[in-house]
Amino acid sequence: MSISKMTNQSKLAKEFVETGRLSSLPFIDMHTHMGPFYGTYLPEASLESMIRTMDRENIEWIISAPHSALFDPLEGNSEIKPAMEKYPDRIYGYYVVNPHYDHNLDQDLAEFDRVKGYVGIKLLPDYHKYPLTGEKFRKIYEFANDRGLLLLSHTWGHSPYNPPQMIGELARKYENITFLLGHSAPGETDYGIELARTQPNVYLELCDTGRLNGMIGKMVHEATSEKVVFGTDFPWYDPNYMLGSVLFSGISDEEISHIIHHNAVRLLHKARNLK
Amino acid sequence: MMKIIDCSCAVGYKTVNYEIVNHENFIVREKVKQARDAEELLQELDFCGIDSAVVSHNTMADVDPDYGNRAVLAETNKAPDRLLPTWTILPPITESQYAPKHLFPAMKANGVQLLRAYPERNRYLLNGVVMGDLIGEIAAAKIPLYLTPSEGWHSIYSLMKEYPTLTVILHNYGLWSHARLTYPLFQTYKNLYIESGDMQTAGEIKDICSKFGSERILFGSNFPSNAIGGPLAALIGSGITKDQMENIAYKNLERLLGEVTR
Repeated sequence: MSISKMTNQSKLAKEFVETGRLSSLPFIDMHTHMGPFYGTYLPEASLESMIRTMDRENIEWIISAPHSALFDPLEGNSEIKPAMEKYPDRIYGYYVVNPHYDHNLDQDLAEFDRVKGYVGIKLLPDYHKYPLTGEKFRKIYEFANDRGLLLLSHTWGHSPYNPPQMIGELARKYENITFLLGHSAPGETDYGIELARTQPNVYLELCDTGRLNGMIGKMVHEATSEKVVFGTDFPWYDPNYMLGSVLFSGISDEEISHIIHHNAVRLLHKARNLK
Repeated sequence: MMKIIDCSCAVGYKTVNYEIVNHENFIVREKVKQARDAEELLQELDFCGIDSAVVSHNTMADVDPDYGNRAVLAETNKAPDRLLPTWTILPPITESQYAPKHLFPAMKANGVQLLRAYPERNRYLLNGVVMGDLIGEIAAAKIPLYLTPSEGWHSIYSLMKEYPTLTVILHNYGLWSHARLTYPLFQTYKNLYIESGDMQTAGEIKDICSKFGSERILFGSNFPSNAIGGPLAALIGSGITKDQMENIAYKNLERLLGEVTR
């Protein structure tokens, strides 16, 4: 298939438009979940349907925090482990911390080291109603800093729990953690972009915010394509939707490649080697 | 070469750049790259290979419908073969120019075939008591009416119940899946359509096609809230058949426009 008169000169965009798929370069999603969720109907929520979508769309691998891990304090983190065991090169995991239920934290962190696929920590402060800078997270940050892990946190502009300013404070204190600004702090993306530009261990993550017209171009222009990573909340959002936002953002194919693939590979290697 | 019509683009600047119905289904203010005029919108369309677009003007909501309705014509008249204007309606009981006997001839004279309503924004209720015979006449003329549930789902449900033959295009519905709210409407009202701009949910296009048919989705971006490339790639990579894709890309909208009788 092709569409007429497209002035976008990206070869990757042309390939996608003509074939419905980016076969020449797989892409990587660093912000995903798994399983059903109370507030929304997700046709492709199961592990196996996610794998089928990944195959169809040429998604090389993902890092996931299942919804159960986000919201069930008792059994949540158990769901990701069989998924990583079954698809060890396709699915990596974020360990999710709920600060209201941290009584088994030492035991859980010890298990983190034994589970091969874990590469980072996922925090969801707006939903858990506990601030990123709260004392209950200190042990988590020290653990992640010792191991050079990824830390993906939900961020939101003007939030009392996870504004980008708190990420900045933590990133300066814990320089060995790679902080991924989940959603890039919508409402305060200018602050998030400046933080990513100036703080070496802070990265912008595209989930939802990347769809806004002109946003990806601004991120790349101001913070460089090496500080932007691809994420979608998949299976909430179709990774192809965000891929299109990147392919049609007006940046070069080299910059596109950094965002959809190369940055993720580099950051994963760092997290796994240090771990 | 597949033709593509974007059924939902806005031109002009918002008073506040920009209020987005975001992925948590509430408003967030975040700057976007807007199209000041038709020339800038056409550049955006060309960049993505879009043939034509249905256009609203941001001043319809931010200043006044009459003001915005004039402004959109000033822009679409620069490229009438590619830009299709829509107008925003008001209750004829206060603004008599929106009574069918005045509105429909004006629409015909200006090439307007689609309408939109923002009852919350304009402080009225979209029902027969308020609107008189206007909605019934719009339904009879098969004029598509754009509505956004960002102003509430209950009003859309009650409107469809009162006017079950009304042709409605849902737009700007936010990014948490709308399925539990729209699927019952798809099932009950055959003239209910949805624009695809906010349709980010994985597998959703295919799911709607399999349950209700590809005839119910119109390709649209909700530009500039969304960059056009996102919904474009979601459609092209959706895994549906070529016939289904063509329905969504342009045939459904052309069919709807062909059915308008005024």
